[in-house]
Amino acid sequence: MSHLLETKNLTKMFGDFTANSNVNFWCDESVVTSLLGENGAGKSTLMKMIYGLYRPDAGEILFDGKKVKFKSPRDAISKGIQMVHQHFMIIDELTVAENIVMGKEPQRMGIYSKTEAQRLVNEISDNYGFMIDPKEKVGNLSVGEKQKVEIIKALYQGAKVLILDEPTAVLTPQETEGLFKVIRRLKADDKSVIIITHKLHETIEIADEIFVLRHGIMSGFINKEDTNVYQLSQMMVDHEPKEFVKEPKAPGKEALSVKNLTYYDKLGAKVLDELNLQVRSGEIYGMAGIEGNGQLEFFEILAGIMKGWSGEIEILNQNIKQKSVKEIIQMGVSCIHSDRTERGLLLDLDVKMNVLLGNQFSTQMQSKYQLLDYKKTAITASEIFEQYQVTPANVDMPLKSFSGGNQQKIIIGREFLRHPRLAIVAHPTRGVDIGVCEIIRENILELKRNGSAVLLITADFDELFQLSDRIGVMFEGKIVTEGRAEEYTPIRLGLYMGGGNEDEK
Amino acid sequence: MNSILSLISTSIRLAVPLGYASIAGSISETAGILALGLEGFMMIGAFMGVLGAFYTGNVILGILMAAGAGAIFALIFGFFCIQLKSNQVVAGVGMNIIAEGLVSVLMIAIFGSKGKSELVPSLQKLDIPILKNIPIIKDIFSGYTGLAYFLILVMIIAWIVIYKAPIGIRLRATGINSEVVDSLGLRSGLIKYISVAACGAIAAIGGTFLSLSQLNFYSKDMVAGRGYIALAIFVFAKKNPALCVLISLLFGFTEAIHLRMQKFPISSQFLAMLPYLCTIIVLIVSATNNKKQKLVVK
Amino acid sequence: MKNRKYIHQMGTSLLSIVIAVIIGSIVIGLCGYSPVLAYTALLKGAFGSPALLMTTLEKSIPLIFCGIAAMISFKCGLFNIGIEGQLIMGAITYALIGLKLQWLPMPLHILVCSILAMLAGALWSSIAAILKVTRNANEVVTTVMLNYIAIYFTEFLVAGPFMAEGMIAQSNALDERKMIPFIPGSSKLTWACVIALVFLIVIALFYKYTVTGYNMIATGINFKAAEAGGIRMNSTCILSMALSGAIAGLGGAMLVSATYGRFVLDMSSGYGFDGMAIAVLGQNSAIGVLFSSILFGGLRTGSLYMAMFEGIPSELVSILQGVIILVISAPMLVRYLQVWRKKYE
Repeated sequence: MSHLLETKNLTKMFGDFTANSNVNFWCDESVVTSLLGENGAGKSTLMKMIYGLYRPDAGEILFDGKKVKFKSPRDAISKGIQMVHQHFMIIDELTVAENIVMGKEPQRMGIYSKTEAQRLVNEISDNYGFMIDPKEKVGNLSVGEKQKVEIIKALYQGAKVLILDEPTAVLTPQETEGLFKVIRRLKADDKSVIIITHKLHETIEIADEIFVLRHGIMSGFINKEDTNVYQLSQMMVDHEPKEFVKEPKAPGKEALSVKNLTYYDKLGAKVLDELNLQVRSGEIYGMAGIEGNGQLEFFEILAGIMKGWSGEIEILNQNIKQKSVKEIIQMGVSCIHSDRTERGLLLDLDVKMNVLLGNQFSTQMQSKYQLLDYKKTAITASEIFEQYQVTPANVDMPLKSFSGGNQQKIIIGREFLRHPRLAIVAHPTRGVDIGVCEIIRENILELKRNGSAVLLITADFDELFQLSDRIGVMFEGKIVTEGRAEEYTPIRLGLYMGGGNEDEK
Repeated sequence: MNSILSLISTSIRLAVPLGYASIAGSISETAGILALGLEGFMMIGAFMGVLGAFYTGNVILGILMAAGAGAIFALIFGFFCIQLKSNQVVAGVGMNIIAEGLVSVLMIAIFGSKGKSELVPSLQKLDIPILKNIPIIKDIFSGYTGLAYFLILVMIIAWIVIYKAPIGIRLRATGINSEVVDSLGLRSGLIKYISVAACGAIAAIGGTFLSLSQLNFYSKDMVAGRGYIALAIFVFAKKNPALCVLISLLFGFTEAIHLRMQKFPISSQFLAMLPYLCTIIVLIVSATNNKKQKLVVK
Repeated sequence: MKNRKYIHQMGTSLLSIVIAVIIGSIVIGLCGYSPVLAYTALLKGAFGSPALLMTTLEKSIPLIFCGIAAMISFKCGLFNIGIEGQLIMGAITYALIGLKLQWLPMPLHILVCSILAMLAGALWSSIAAILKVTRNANEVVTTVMLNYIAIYFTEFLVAGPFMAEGMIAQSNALDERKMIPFIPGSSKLTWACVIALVFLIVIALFYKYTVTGYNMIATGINFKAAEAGGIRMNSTCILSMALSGAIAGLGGAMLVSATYGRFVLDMSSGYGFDGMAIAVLGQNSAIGVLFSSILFGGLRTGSLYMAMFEGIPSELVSILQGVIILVISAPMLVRYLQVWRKKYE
């Protein structure tokens, strides 16, 4: 009996780098298959080949037992393979219905039939218990709702195989439960569901069959009943994860003090709602929360980029309301933005020019008459290369030639080597592999040891608990709970992240 | 009264080329391709129309040739933008320079003159059957050449395609995020190419209105920046074809005043500046919400 | 490593010229002329004799200024299409104020009038810059509109209140002794070439060593990252456009002071647009601008020669320039060709 979708000895190389090597993978109807692996293990490469975005260098793909060659996603889609991407493929300015039916629009006499489209969407939506209004503009939906739109879209477009790429990355534990219910329903409807993830516990809970990828090689296949978290973890990584010792340190004076911070966005929505927060020197404050609850705006306000807020913010005992980004940097603040490419990198320029960014007006990088001194810049760049193990160690290479992980290291090195007294760090290890993760987290702890205050915004619970002394949850622009890290568990955090609180029973 | 009516009809006549160009630009921009080449497309259209009419003796064939030439020219631009990932502003300016040079060279090569081409058959004015007998209505709505009425048709079709047709959804989506369109298995590249070609053809027809409708020859500097003015028009109109035509009327009005007031002691150069000043004012007024949003869409 | 980058860049520019020449010859042929004749005439007319070479270099001077002006705006991510208008405003300022200040000794006269011309150009471009920063008005459209307004405004001035004696719309002539002199031994090339070179060097140093220069480069590459790095967007953009307009105005000043001696209608004849092509071809570097300006200067002189002696219309050169811009605007073209070449190695 052949599988619905199968790969045999699939291999993909990028130059010298082997992303996938002789991978055997399969999935079947009414089965939930998990593709498990760390960041950089090769999961997305494999899926992109199945989806037709990449062409394999060797090996073959079989659908229903017959060999197929996918030249583009169109070929994969025609076979019923649909992907729900990690970064949603939807257009905010269009309605839910328009997003879903695009390409297979219902029409009457050449005119698009809005009512028919809405009816069809509702059919699927009601079937799965989604409460989505097809007339609503997608931009107004929450993240969880957008994901539902993506699922409805996949079904409408005729999915037999649904590939979900890191679907729980943006969900609370409670929302994840909801997603799992949907997945079980899909399974009951004879769909084949593939989940790409690096989360062990979720895999054990929802998957029937588990494939583990490690460094581009299939390190194992196993049924859910036959394994456990510990065994899976062993299959995923080949070395012991580093134990971070969180030294309790007596925190010093307040470095960041936020009182009654309120901010309305351009459309008049209240994004930050009388937010209160304090971070002291020598302490790491970890802020949890679903993206879209005001974290981005909070970050940009602290960095000095966004203005027009009300309330009081003091950094190192200075009121920052009138201060420019440059002045805030000069006060001793470093920011690692969550979108590192957009906010942190000059990709076409070389390392020296990138190291200068944010540092160009400090006398550290200047010679006489406030002229730029490239020798000093090169020295700093070399220091970053050494401390963060960046390869290749070439200060003249353009940033775009470095891997994503190395780019992230360079940004963090550039910001941290300033010895900031306050560091605001958002998602520092998103999308990087485990080796880089450890270096970055070690350096954050080093900052704290040297007496800096660190505000850490992250969606990674492992990271949150490994690093934070105190934890707070941001929901709808407010801190809804706050306390010492030991007082919290992921479930408890998830409750608050979703807007609930413990008083409700 | 008569002079007011003639002012209105002059405004309408002057608005037509802008109407074509701005609708053309709307289509291209909706698909995500910057319509900076409108000036060049209009020039090509105006000249090729005359050339076509010259060789075939038939003005309608000339207009069709112009549309074809405009589409081809626009497709070259599209190729550079879509396939070769050119910087759209630079490529657009390049196309305009090529267009100007090409037309100048052909003018000398074929007509032997830098300034003015030979005379060719032009469009006839049409008298609309019932309307032509109603006193005031006839001055405003009747008596234009066919291209003016055709603009209304183009506007309606463009409006239907963008907002009501099934492909309109794909078109708008392509301009906002073509990756999403591709992820559905649709061909965003094809959509862009078709839009750009349509833009070139429609803008070229707008150009022929200048050379074959109001006059019956091509002269250097005939387009005089209208392609750039059209950019401001469709930005202001938020790419809505109906609004494009409306705002073009406003600009037609300023040009009409320029022509009228030449009898008055106000210096003619200041009046000549009116359409361009108007464009700047329109841009100031139609400030968008998106900070730093340029016309260029990747 | 750095040398490899320069060689790569130069190779891209040269490749673009080659492609443009090939495409150009097809177009020339389609128009009914012989490409061989056309190109030989162009080369002869540009560099064929010392006198012609001097003319080419003299024509390159305003091109260098316009190229620098375009380069400054492009490096900051802005598209100043209004260099033509800014040049004209600089020229009219120099011509008119120059007439009033003829009592100044020559070097001082040139200095003061040039500074005022630069101010005029800077002001003209700043209008577009301020509109962009405050009202998000696209600078491509505004600068083009300002071009037309500048043309009509200066026409008004020299056809009206400041018209010279006679029938031609132009300003009065400056005293010849106040104009920039020719370099010894030439009747075509003036000291303005030295001024142009000086500004090239100054601008190159500006971008390499000053913080402001760095800020502009960063803004041009990724303005969101620049903002996060403490660079003020608004003032950087306005400063960049103002600087661009100032250099364009200086170019206009040089046209009056070194070549024409007065303001004449149509004196610019497209220097502003050439400036953009030059900056693009020179890949926004000072050295690139220098060589591209000489190339375009050669095209100008050569095209006149070509028209006079071979009867091929000089406007053909416009097509070549447009094709160069088009080709170099496409980064993928060069990459495709390199890949294609590798297949055959």
